[in-house]
Amino acid sequence: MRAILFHKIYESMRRNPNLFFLTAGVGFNLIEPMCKEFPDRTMNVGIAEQNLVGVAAGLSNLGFKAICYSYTNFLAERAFEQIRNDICLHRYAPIFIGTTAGFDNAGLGATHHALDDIGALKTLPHLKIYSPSSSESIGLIFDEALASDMASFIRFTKNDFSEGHPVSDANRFVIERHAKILIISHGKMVANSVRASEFSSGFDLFAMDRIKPLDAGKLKDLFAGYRAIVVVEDNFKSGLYNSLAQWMAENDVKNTRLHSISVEETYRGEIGTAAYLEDLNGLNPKQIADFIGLINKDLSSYDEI
Amino acid sequence: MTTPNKQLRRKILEVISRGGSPHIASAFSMVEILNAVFRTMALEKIKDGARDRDRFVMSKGHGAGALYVIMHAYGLMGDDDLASFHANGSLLAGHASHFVKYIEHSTGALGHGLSPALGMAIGLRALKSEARVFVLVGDGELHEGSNWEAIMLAGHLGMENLYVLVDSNGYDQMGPLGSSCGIEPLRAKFESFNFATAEVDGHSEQEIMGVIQKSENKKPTAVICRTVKGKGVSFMESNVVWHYRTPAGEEYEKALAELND
Repeated sequence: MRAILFHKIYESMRRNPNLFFLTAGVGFNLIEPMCKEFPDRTMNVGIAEQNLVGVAAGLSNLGFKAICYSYTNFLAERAFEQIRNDICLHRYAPIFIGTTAGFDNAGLGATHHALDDIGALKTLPHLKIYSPSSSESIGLIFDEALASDMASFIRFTKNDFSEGHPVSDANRFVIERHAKILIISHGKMVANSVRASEFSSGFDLFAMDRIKPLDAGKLKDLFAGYRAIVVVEDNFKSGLYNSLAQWMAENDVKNTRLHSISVEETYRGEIGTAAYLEDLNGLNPKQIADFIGLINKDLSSYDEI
Repeated sequence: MTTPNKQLRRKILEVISRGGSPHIASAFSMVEILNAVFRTMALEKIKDGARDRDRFVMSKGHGAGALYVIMHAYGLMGDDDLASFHANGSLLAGHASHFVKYIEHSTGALGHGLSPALGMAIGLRALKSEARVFVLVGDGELHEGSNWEAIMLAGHLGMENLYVLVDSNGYDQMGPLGSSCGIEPLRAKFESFNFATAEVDGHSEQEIMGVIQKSENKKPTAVICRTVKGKGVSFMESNVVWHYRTPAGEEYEKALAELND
């Protein structure tokens, strides 16, 4: 996924002299060729995320489109006030690219887990949030962010899931077999949900890789078409689940139940591999399938009454 | 023909008092600095909105009252707009706001001016422009770590088109800087970050302009402007109360009388 994204960035830098690539000391073996080819428009500002975002604001003032690259959590949270004041307040349109989202850096400890980034960032107006789930969607999302006159935050993982065919929208069905239950997911958890099909066929799967703004037009059809919706995300409940719950309340949705499989809202001392921490939070494919089984059973009991 | 500084201070007194705004002492300490910068910049390109214009970023955004008065004096703001300062429905907030035409960047949350100013300087260098970027920071504001991230990078890159002016009035909103977290020796600090650094009387436009009009350095420039908080009105000078208080009634008349002398 990262190789595809950087190929897109290179190609865009070649075509568009107004693009400026900035990194905060991240991208070993990725950015060096870019520094050589575009020395005037590529810069490593050092391990200084606040400065990274402030410099991007200054470049935006001159009409450049800045691409800012760092770890998701440090970019979203260390530089939060810079994103708020220097970017969103000014309605500048840089692209923030946050790597190692979710549990990508599982073994490095809680300081390196990006689980609260969506909840934090989505409070900010004039900022789009993306969580690409596949090799196909990340290119599409980058192009969308490039063309946007609004700032975009793309948080992505080391996941290399491929859908095997081009996609035409960041928000789309990945599995559609007209089940009663719909999983809505984003980022790496789309791949985990696809693998849940090995254990259960009782759900459809919709990738909502564009988390903000919410896709209100599609949501109406999705909520009308399913008895239950399960949000699966490598994030706290403050992420997409919370947005959908708010949308349901505001739109008076009563006939569809909303469930969440997400990360427990705490900072753990315990570390392990990404798979290990996903297991602890009910996010592995078998656990997702088991959860779907329980919901299906519950719906069937309700039908019998 | 520039407006005399006492006249500018009278106008600042008038708009801040009418608007019921705080920060008059901060506004008074920076009058000569602002005047020197606005005398130095190429204003026509600023008025034209040229991409390669000089830029000014007022990082210590709480001195907005002084900035708006200076902009008015240099033809960048009309009478009606200035008269609306700090009023309901006005865009002229108590902190510098980019919603006001010709203000490059909204500030007020401290430590948010230097990095954008550096970004502007980097962009101008990429465009091979000779335009320059001036940024005014408060000395108390230099407690914010984000400033030092920008200062470190600016020195490393040798950003000769970046001018950092420090309004060194020696106070933050709690009192003398040394009583909380001292920032001296400021000159040595900037020099150690590869800045061409000068220390001047911050109430002497000539001294300030003598530094910022030179451009032969291949380094960013820091101008430490030693100023007096509340300069020009005896009972406001170095009195931290006037960081907050709006002069009214007898205090207003007394201040006006001193500025009329």
